[in-house]
Amino acid sequence: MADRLSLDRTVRDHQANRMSSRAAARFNAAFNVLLIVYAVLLGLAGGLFSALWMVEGEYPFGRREAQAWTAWPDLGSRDIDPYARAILARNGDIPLGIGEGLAFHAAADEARFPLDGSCTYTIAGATPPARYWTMTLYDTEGRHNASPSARASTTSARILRDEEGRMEITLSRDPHPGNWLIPPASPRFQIVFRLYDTPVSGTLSWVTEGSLPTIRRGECRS
Amino acid sequence: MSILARFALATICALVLGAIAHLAAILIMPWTSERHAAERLLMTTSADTAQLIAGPGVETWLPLPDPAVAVAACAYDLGEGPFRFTSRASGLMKSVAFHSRGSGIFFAVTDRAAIGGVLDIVVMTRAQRDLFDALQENDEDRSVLRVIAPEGEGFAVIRVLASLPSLTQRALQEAQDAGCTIEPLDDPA
Repeated sequence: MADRLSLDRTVRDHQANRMSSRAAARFNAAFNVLLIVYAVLLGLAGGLFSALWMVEGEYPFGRREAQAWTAWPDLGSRDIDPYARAILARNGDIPLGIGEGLAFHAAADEARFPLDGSCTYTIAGATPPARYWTMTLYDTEGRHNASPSARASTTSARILRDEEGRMEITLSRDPHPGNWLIPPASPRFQIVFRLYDTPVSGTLSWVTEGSLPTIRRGECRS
Repeated sequence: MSILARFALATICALVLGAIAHLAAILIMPWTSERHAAERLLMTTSADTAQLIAGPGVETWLPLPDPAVAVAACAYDLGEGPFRFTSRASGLMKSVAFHSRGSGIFFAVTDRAAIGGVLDIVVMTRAQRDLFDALQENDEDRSVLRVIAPEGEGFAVIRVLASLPSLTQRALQEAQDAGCTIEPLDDPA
């Protein structure tokens, strides 16, 4: 009788062990599937979102700075990096080629304060060698008021110079004699200074300190 | 392997997969984005002259357009033959650039490169260049600039600067007058 009870207990233990090992195997399998789903979803989502995040901002590589101005010369050459190519694909821009010219962007003045539409600025000094240049004001969204009365752009052919060939442009909401541009109505704005047919865009040379116009802030309206 | 170790392994796999997905997305974006300039210019492939896309008083999809510059473009497909781009040098500052999706700008010049008052540029594949060389037998026209394209499809952009407001209409007209034609090679074989 005792042997019989012992045998039953052994059988029950064995069955319990088999059930618990089956449950463990099922749990392991389910956990592995969960891990695979987790890895695939996290990998794809992370990879795609990080790619989209990278192409929404400004060009991450090839940035060249001179005074208050920033340019990306590689955009116009075959050395363009894959991120810049992807950004151009997203924003639809057609950059200037190295053989065409070079665009300099400024969103801050010489002291690195953001350009403020309520302030007066003086853009003065030398300009690098170029057949022509243009200077255009845009709001932070990239909008430009093309109306002549808006006075939001000028070119090297329209600029007045002093006896030494230097130019001075005043950016102000109030009228000024000489070269006068009016900042956009937005609180902040940006300037794009484009050199056309210039040796500066060649990869062998770069502008030295002082060879681009300086942007100095004057008085601000309260 | 413990649960924690398996979770760590899955996270490492996710990071590797994420890096691959990130790079793949960046690399294929020029071919998949509908906002790419090449995609927007596809309709100009069959046009014989450049189509105005930006300029003084012209509505444009280009970001930060230069209001003093008339911009016109035409897309090309070298499948049927080399692409010929022509524009007259008139005294206004002009520049021409050739773009492809995978290589960006592969050639750009200004009107200073014009020979005999005309900017005459032929874009061709390497195979077409070889065939052209075989057909010409040293009779090559030296007034034409010949460029090897990295890809079979691309687009040309001409910019004409109106340095003064009075030159605006002329700049717009000259940008649109640029010729964009496909000129098949006559293969005797």
